[in-house]
Amino acid sequence: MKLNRKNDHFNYILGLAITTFILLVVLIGFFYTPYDPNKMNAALKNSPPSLTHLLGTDNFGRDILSRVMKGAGTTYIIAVAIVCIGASLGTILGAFTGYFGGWLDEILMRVNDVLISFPSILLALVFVSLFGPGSYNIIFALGIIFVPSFARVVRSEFIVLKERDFIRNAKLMGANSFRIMFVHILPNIKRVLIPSLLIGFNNAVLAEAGLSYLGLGVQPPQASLGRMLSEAQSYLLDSPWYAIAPGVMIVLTVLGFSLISGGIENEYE
Amino acid sequence: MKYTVKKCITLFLSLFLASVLTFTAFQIIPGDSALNALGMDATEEQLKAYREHFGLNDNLPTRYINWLKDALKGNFGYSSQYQMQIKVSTLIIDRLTITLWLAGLSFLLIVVVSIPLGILSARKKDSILDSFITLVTQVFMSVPSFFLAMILTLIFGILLKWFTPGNYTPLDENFGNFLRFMIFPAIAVAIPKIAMMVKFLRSALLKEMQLDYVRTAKSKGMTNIRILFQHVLKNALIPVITFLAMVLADILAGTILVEQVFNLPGLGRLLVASIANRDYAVVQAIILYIVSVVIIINFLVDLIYQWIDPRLRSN
Amino acid sequence: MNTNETLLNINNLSIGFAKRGKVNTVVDSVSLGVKKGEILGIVGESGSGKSITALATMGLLPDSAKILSGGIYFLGNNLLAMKEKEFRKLRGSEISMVFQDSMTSFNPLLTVGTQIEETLRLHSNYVKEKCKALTLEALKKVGLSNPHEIYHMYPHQLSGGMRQRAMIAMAMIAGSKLIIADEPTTALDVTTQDKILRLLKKMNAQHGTSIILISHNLKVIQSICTRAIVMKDGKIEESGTVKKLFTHPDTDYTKMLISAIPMPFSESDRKPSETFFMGSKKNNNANSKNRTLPVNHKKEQPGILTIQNLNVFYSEKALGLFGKKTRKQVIHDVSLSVSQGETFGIVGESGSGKSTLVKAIVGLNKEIEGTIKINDVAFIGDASSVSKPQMVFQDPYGSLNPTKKISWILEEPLRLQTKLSKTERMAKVHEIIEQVGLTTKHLERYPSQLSGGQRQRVAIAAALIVNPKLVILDEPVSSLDVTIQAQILQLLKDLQKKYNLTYLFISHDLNVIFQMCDRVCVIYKGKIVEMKEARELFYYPQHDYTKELLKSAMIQAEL
Repeated sequence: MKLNRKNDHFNYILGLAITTFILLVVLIGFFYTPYDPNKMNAALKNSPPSLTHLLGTDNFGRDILSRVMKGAGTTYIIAVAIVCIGASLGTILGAFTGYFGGWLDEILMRVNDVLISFPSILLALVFVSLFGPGSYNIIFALGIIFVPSFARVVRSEFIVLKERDFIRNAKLMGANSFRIMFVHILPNIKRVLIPSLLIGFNNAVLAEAGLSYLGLGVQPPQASLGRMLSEAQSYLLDSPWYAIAPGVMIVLTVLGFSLISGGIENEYE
Repeated sequence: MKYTVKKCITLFLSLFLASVLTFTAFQIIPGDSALNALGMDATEEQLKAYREHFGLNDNLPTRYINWLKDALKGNFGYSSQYQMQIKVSTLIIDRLTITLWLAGLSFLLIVVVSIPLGILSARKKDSILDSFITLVTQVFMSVPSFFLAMILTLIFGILLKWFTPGNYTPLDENFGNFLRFMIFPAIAVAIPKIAMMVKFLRSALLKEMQLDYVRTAKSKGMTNIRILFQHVLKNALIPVITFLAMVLADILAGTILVEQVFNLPGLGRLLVASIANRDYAVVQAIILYIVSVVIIINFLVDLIYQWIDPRLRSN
Repeated sequence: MNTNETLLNINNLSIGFAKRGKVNTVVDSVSLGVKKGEILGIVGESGSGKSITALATMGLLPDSAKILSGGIYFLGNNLLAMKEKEFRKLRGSEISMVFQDSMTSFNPLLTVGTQIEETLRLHSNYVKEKCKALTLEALKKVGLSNPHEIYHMYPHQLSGGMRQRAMIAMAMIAGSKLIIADEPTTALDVTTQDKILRLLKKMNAQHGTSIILISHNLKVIQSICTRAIVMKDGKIEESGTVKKLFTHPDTDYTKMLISAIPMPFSESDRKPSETFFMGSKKNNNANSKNRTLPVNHKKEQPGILTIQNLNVFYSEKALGLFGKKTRKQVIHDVSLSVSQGETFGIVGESGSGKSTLVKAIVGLNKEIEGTIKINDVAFIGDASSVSKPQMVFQDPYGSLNPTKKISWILEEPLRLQTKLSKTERMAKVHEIIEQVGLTTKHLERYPSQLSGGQRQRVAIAAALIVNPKLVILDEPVSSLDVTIQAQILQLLKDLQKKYNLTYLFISHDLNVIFQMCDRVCVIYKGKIVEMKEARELFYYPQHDYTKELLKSAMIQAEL
């Protein structure tokens, strides 16, 4: 048992460390990168990692480190936007359906169940094929697509919490439904909502990466981690670091947040 | 019985709903399909003829019914990216084999690897092995499948030369080589899912083992292993099957990306190309196909539930 | 002690849980012995260590528990020193356990028959047919009249009583010499409880099986045990024959449990030593000659709550998209009235409909026919009183919002039901917190930082802060330990006197009702079967059900 606790704690700290490191890198990247990410330098095409270019250069001679810093920033902003849309709409939807129930809830729940079983990339592809590619489009598309999973989580919490005595008490004291839902019940779902937000962020990062990889997300010259990977594919033989850098960045991001999320869940166990 | 009947009704309703939505979405939004199909140089005459021919001047419900009638017969029209020369159904069936093989191999890998690992991890809870497995699964869950595919290509294709990247052997040419190639994309798709499954199975088993009936079984003098296999596993199966269904649906998405990396002529590549080429007939058909598969999988899962859990049988 | 006679001997057993480096002792030097053919009772409240002792005897302690010292000897063998393989042979065939919750103690996916048979298969070499035959026989022995059907049924298809019988069959089928029954009747209703206890006694008489019966309910212990030990905080308070324990208890704690009287009231119109249970027989004899009862001479007070011909319905949600809504009638033609300053008791078991009745009164259930009136009565001294009834709930852990500070929780009723300003509200909050025996320090805390008793005080404060006409208390002390119960009940009585409050008091605990209520009504299956002055109801019950209830709560000399 001691091993278990130490282990969980270790994972949590590791997650914090990784995430802090990455966030710092990206934050710095907003203001300063070693080189201009878009500056091409034909002379230094495809050069391996060195002291001047810590992660090497790509096929246009652009500094990979700078591109990764900027690209990660783009990816994160998109992911955060997606989670904001999904979580806020999802929470409202989940709160209303969970609290009021009724036939509307029944129908929405069925629809929700069906939607959740579809991989988000698929639904995003449908959207993109209808409305065209681009960062704003995928933010909107994925944001909507993430609503069902948040709604489901919030809904099941509300269904349980509305039966609790302190809510019954609030009702009989005359609190109106809005007050009960958002002042009384909502603070109590923090425990469940926060891990969901972190996981949602991870899924958003992965989804954006996938879509951009397919060329349907972030468009050039804007950099995102997914786009870099698709560019890097052709140069796998010559300059593998071109692909490894953005890929590892994605892995570290998602891993960091997963470990933190797991750590939070363990705290409450 | 009531349960089965209800689920059948839900099945048909869902399929119907899916077809209506898919059809409507692709008819309403993508602009003028005549223009898309014939290109910018088409004359007004040609566009008119096209619209007549394809019944685009009818109203939506009529168009839907006509489309549905054709679709049930297997006729999805012609592909615009191939200049209307190739039937959509032909295209799809061509590519389906590869995707099915990829999905099938991945699923097999997932089941075969994750179930023993999950059970092992639960049994040896809190041991060093368990901690190791947990850390490894965390890492692999964070790796996007297409990046993993690239790494595999790098290591096994380029460095070790176990396969030639981008050069797959068709099924009917040489089955052995076909498999030898396919195993790598299958691994790329499978590994993140294996990681998820192991984590999930471990937690599901541990949760079950906390329940009262396990204590009763112990009080009767059962060994832990017997309890695991005769009691716990069956009960844990219920959430695991839900999860597997979700994994299966995810695989369908995973193949889309991995096919790009390995240059496989599968359904995923076709979908992406068709989106880029605005070949809506193809996109529509593929989406409908995938959606139906997911709905049917869920239906089958519901039936399996009833078979396993007697509480769902009696009312 | 004659070793031929002793089956189980626990010697100075100490068990602890290791938490973050510290060791928490939950069982402290416990010694007890069970003879062959004996029924031993272990009494104690939650946290007394009784269940842990039982689990240790079975070798089923959780991994986090450590045996600190002592030994457990079964037929002379030290169970704690035994290898797991050996111990396993004993479990189910020599020592068995019957658990409290029969629903969760069975595997929902396997038939009852399979699970009972399992015990046999583990400890014998009988063929399938013989196992089945023996299982059917066992089912019959525990009083199940259709063993063939039950054999093929799943646990959720049986009633609570039937399931518990099946569990007993499962424990006995391999011929165990010792059965440990941990609260086997707590989840059952009164009549079924009785039947299960009789069954256990029969098993003991017919097969010579020793039984350790663990319960917090004294009546249960008294009904079939010959000897009993009383546990508190991991230690043994007292032990002896049941007769001695119940007639001449030595320790204060035991006395308190036995007399079922919390602590003597300071000002009460009932004599401190007059408990219902101990005195009932004596009082009955004494009063047989003189039938005049002391009457509560309360001044004629105005009526606060009037209920006339109330029918309450409950619509179950439609099952799935195609199910039909079912509408059940839960309360049938109930009429009652409560006067100001009175404490009106509602007694009923779970399932009687009392919670539904309460929900209707407070307006949470609107599917009613009939009238519920809460009359506008001028309140002593304070014009700003609220006519909505306020409620105090049973579970102190669920009745306060865990994410809000106590000051917020107390302010909310004022925010919602009055038009006072922030300063006025906070003034009232500071006032009421002292009234319920807490301090302003507590205002800054969260519910999780308070004990059960403290939370209940907060709940009472929240109910009273708006000067309500009527306070409805739904099992307000049922979840609290006996000592705390007394304090809370005293608080309620004091506040009632001070503010001339009217209480509607719901409980299944007859002793609490007796202590608190002026008038009482008994609810059975949604109808009022009897309604009178408290004393009259308790001493001269008319309705059969009332008599049953009283009988089940009374401690008698023999079963």
